[in-house]
Amino acid sequence: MNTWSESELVAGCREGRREAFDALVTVHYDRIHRLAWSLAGAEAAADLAQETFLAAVKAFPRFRADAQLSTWLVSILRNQYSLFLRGLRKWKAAPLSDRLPAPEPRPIEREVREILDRVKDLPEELRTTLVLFHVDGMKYADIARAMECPVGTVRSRLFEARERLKRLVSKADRP
Amino acid sequence: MTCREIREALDALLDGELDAGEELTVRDHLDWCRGCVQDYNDLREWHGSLADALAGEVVGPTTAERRRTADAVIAAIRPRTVPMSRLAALVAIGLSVGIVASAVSLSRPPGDQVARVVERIRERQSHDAQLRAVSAEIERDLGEARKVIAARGPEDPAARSVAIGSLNIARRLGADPLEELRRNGDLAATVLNAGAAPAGCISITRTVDGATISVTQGTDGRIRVSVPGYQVEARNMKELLSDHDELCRRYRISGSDGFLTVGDSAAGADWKGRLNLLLRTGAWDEQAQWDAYRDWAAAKAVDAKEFEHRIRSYQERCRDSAKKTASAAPAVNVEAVLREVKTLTRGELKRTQERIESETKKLEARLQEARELRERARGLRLFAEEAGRDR
Repeated sequence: MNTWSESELVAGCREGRREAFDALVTVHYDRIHRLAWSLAGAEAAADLAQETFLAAVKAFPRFRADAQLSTWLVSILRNQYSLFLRGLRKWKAAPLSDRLPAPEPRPIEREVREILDRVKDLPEELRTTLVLFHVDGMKYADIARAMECPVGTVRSRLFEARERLKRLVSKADRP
Repeated sequence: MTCREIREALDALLDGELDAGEELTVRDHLDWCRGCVQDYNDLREWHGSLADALAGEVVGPTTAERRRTADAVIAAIRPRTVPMSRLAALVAIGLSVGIVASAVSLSRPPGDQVARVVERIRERQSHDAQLRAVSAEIERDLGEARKVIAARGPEDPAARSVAIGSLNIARRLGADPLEELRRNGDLAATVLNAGAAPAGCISITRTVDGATISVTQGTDGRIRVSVPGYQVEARNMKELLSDHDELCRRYRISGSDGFLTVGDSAAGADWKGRLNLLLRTGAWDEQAQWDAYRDWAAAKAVDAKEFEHRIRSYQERCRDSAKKTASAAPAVNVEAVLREVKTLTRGELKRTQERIESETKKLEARLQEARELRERARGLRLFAEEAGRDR
């Protein structure tokens, strides 16, 4: 059901109404899932999206009336993604001798695969900025609100992310 | 603006994020600087590749994933809180009603509330009496089972199963009879000491829906599951299945302690290894008990016909004996309870009712578990008796 206005949805969630939270998921799930996919990969996308909504339920009493739901959810996604990365790094660092190779990627163009592989090497704040802009088409100002930083920082992060990525991709291209 | 500054601004220009004044400056620069025009064209191509790569790979969620999140979110919603304004109104109404009511009946609770509390107390005492009766039955059955196999060595398969099963059941019931058994030189204690032998590590790795899953049960009985992105750990299979049911469903992980399955693949220890794991994990369920009996009966039977006969006969005896369980009649002095409850004020009565309801709930859960354990204990006794006759 998509007939809730933003203010109705916020009021319903504040009151803890089940149908309001159901609508919150209906309206925002696909977008959060898409971003989660781009940030954390196919295997973790559904879990990361779910963790984002569960964290949103807990954090709803702190939701400010002047904020936008979609931007607020993205900021929660970013926090959850940071937690996910920390967990992943801890796991990667653990001496697991039986770590298994990742599943075979789908055959897509070489440059696209190269970009996707190298995006993972960017620091979290650069990668998130890049994904929010290119995957979600968010404006600098909205990214700044979601990432709690000045607009100028978004601009310089995007510049930095693209530069680094280009260097990484061309380095990999060299024989 | 220098070419370096222009280069930085080109990104924002392509993103449509330059303000009008800055855009004019950049475009003026592009009119005469061939190097920056070249940069602009390269950058435009690069932006296109990035957008295609990042946005093009994403596959939308399934309906099931969306539904699962919605269900999890709804399950996580806290009870609705009453807004302060409404709360104030309710308090005001409550106070005025309270003043009128107290003028009529002071602070004594109404009769139907007293009756409800008395009924709850009766219920709790009934549960308590039943739990004690069931526990006594279990202890009796386990004691008898251990007595029958006492003369056997810890390597005897039936004796070993009965000893480990009875210890696990007693522990789940809340008792740990090990010290006493050790003092008495009981076989169960000997088996526990002998159980220090390594149980072996069981491991299974399989690809499910493109993801590689690895499930391992270590010598300590703990189960570790590695899936792409993270890993979980549980004390035993029961805990894994209950605490991570979604993960287990998704990757089709199931089995029991000492016998793991992922999808269509399975891996397991031999029966002695499984018993050692069951001893460590403390999980003695219906399946473990059946496996124990089947393993023993298969070794004893001379042919398939006799094996089948033994199994059927054991099943029937278990079923019949489950019917013959003692019923516990609670001895509740209703008059005395009523007299006591009637002396309570409204507030005291409310608190008493809440406390008793919480205790009853816990007792109900323990009673349900004890009833299941009674069936295991009775089955073990029958197993031990049959093994005793069969020596």
